[in-house]
Amino acid sequence: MATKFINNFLITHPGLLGANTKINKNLDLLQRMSVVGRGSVLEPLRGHNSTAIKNTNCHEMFGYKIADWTSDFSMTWAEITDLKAQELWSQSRALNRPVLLRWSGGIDSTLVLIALLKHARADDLDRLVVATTKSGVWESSHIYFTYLANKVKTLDFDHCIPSFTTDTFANFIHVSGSPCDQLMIGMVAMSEPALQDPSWFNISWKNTVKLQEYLGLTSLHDRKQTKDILLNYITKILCDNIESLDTDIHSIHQFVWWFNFNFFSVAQGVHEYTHWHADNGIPASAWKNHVFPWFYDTRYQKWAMTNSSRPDIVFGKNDWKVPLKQYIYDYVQDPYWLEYKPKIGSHGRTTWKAPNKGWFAITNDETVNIHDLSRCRLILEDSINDSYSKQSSAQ
Amino acid sequence: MFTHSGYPRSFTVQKYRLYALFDPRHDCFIYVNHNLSVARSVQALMSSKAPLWLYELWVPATTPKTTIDNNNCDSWTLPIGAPRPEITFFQLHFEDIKIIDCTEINSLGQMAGLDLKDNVSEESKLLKDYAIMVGWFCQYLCTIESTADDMISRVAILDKVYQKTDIFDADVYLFISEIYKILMLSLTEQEVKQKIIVLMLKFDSIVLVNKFSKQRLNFLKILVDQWQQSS
Repeated sequence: MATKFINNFLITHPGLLGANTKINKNLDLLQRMSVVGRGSVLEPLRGHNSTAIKNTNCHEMFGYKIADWTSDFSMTWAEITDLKAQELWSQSRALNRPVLLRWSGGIDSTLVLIALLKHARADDLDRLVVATTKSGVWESSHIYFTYLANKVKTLDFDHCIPSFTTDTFANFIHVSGSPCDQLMIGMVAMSEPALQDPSWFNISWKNTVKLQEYLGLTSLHDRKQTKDILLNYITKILCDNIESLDTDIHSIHQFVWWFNFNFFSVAQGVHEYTHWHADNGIPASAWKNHVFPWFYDTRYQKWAMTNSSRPDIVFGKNDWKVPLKQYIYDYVQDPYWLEYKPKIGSHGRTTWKAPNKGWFAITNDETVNIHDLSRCRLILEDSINDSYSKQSSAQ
Repeated sequence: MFTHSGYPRSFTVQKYRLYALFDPRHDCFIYVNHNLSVARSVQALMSSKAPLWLYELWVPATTPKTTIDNNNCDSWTLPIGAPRPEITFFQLHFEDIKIIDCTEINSLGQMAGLDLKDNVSEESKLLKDYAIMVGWFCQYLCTIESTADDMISRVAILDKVYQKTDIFDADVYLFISEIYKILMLSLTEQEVKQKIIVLMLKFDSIVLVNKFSKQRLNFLKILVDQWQQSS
């Protein structure tokens, strides 16, 4: 089956990100979609000049490719991860360009960090720069103090990244943990029923009664404003859409996985690029040439397709992201990572400065435009004040 | 060694606010304190061991037969059927603290609003003991931090960003940062003791006496002496 199914969102809404996009006409739809999907293309548009992504196609713009559908990919998660680290270090050595990892302290970016440490040659660590926040230290203090502090260069994300220009951006190969969520299962909120009751893994998504029952159990459905949209959108548009595709999507759980993976193709590119563009003026060309798309890899995609029907691999007992935790544990030998480390939306704390537009928090599966600054002040107040005072004194 | 009920020495109001840290993993509370800053600090310093959800408990001033304190908080849990907190970053650190009114006394003379557990796991007891120790340090030794966030800023010395040496002498700043780091990274009470003994040897006590709160330093010196004698 050709790859076009993956970009089903774009097929469903042709031209959404393409050259003929009538972005304003679709804005209302997009905004409602973003409420449904969270990992969709919409949230970045809020508060931004939509020309950032107008007349562009994220695939063409960033050169990201989507794998053909497969259900028998044989590589393990660890094997792919090892290869990715080796490839990134090779690229860094060849270009003699440092790697800038945005590390939130969460599971996804910690996997990237550990893989890089595992495969680094002696002089590679001189080319590793880790941008993080004090919240990253808060969440994963053991990782920070054991492997990062006084061992590799660290940058304060809040202070340094917002001041990046196109030139400083181009000094690095950029890598982050986004968008691993969509690879593994998608939003936790959409997976809750299956985590609670494994029988959902065996019920066909074509059973519309059960499908609606499943959606009614998700926490997304608790939100009054999403209730009708969610049901209408998924049961009408997406069901028709997936019906037309030649895939091995059978169960409701697989369906939800596919729903999230459907947004995978736009999650990283549009989210992150829009912010880089709007806040730092980084052009698409720089983005394409200087971002290493770690999880946006056809091998990971094929792994996800193959294992979308294997909850025992993706999940442990009441847990998820088991392959990532196992990889991290094998290196750090900290049982906390293997046995418990919860997902707490870590990437959401890697904040972006957007003067006069509020603060933006980018997450793996949603982008939140935080107009209510009070929610961010706890963490950011010092950073904001320091940053502005430094700028003022410099001027 | 480390004990603290979580309550102030005396209180006379009809109901009292107690800040309690709930551990969703073990489904119980593992620490209580009447001081919000201390509770927040413990929450932060325990973050690599257990994400903890902060509750505000309204507890009765007239002590019932069974109330909640740091001796027994791991025996208390949220009522059956009450929603357990989701562990998300915003919920942990930004959302309003949830209030539970425990002022009613049931027919058994027990505090209502929470449930007593039948069994307490050894693992949660260890976590509770560690939290009490962390709380002890936060309350009696490192009280100069006003918020947990300030404390993390101090510990997480990202390159040339958080060196607030204009507030305190650099030695004192580093000394307290090291204590926070020890509390954050150690796994057992014994490990904390050993590392703090080494820390005391590393720093020049005479210099610290001149710059650091004598009362707080004396606390620490007495502690270390006791540890060394008992080991």
